[in-house]
Formats: sequence, structure tokens, C-alpha cells
Amino acid sequence: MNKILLITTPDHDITTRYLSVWSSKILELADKKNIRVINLKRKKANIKELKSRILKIKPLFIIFNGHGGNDCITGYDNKILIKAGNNENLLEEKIVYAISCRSASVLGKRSITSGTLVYIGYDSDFIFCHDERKISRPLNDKIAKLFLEPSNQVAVSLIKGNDSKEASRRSKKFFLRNIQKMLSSEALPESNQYAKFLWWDMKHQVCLGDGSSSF
Amino acid sequence: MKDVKKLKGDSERITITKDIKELVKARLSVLPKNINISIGSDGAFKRDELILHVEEEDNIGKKIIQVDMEFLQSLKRGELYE
Repeated sequence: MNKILLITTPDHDITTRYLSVWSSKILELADKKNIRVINLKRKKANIKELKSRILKIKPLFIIFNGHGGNDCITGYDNKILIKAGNNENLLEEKIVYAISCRSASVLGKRSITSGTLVYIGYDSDFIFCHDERKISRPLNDKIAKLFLEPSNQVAVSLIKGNDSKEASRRSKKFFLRNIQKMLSSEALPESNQYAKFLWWDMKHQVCLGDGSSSF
Repeated sequence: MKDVKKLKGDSERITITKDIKELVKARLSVLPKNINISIGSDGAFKRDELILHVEEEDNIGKKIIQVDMEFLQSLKRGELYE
């Protein structure tokens, strides 16, 4: 299987904008490691483009930024990309990281049954806080950073050669570190609120399938 | 008990009482006004919007209550310092 990364960056609302912009950190690392990247940006994050690239180019690692549900991942304008019982076979023999709310609960499990190597995702809503004053510059948003850096750590760890189980472990460790910072005596009064959402994301991140798989 | 509803959580079943709602609302109120909270496909919400949702006990409100209560239970169990 080719060492190729496919990523969706739909960027059609505030949430997907933040996820997409913060994915640039992953793409910078991939570039440094000479990994070929296929970035399905905005309107290109659609089922036709996704299917075509997966079948022709056969990426090993796929990152889905976007919304979702228990049984699906969506792309641009919340159009379905992958749906359980429909086309999860597209993820066969792939390593998947899906920041698509709740998709690990049904789609993740079904895709493993259909031959996906690993599905790292969330079995409940992925929740994050952000500063509305930084909407035009999401990378400068220190509040969003608390959430999106640990989330990115899954992909960062995989790109650096760690196996999937270790990638998820490192991501959760990062979440925990940020939680503990938010609960420290030096934290601001509102930090406790960030801590609870960080904890939720950490608790609901799951690594399904063969944890020894690596990119 | 008046105004008591049950929330299904991972560990214990959470009973939404008026006191719990007030606690969650009070905790949310410390968030600065410029902070938005993105909750998956449900959208992005300001502090005061979430407080209203909690008061209404709609799906989003129940979700926030569940997050808060399970987090506090986790703190009580010392899980965040293991």
C-alpha cells in the first residue's frame, strides 16, 4: 500500500473551518516527511472525488475532517461521504482518523468488519471551544489549540511512524496534559469549563481494529 | 420528586434536578462572552445560548448536563490524576 495521505478539509462552517485550518499543521509535517498528500478541499470534499482518489491512488492513511453521525462521515455542506451499510468498503485496508462526531460508534465498527485496518475516531460528539475574535485567524486561537493540538497528535504520531494504538495513546496523553493544566491552581476561572470538554473528547476517542498498524 | 428527569450516562444514571441545572448553568456562566463552543453537527454556541439550552433541557441542554455531571463524577473518582 502506498504511503499516501488523503485528507478532507471541507471548511464550510466555523467548526469545519477550524478543523481544516488546524490540519495545516499535519500537512506541514507530511511535507517535511516527503509524504504525498491528497487534500480534498472545500467542495472537493465530496463522494465522487473521494471515491475516485481512493480507487485510483490508494492512500493508506485517510483523515476525515467534518461532521458526521453514528453511521456516517460527511464532507462539504454536510453531504455524506461514507455511510455504514453503503460504502464503508472504500476504507478497506486503510488507517482512518475521523474527527466526525459519533462516527466511531457504528460506522467505525462496521468498517473494521469490512476490512479497515484501524479506525480512530470518536463515539460521541467532538466538542471544542474557540475564541470568536480569532475566527479569521484560527491558528492564533489559544483556546482552540487546547483541543485541536491533541486531536492532531493522532495524525502527527502516525506520520512519525508510531503504530495506531500508540498514536491514540499519545493523543489522549496530550488531552490529559491540557486537562491538568486547566485544573491547576494557576488556571483562569473558566479553565474548568475547557477541562470538561477536553475530558469528554479524550474519553470518547477510540481506536478500533489492529492497533499495531502503522503508516 | 418534581422536575426530575433521568439522563443515561456511561457510568451512573444522572437524574436532572433543578439543582443540577442551576449548577451547570452557573458553571457555564464563568465562560467569557467571546468563547464559542462547537458541539459536533449541532453547531457552535455562545455561553448564554448554552445556558438557555440547559434551562430548556432540550437535546443540547441534556448533552451539556451529561458532560458536566460525568466530568464531575470523574473528578470525584480521582481519574484525572492517575
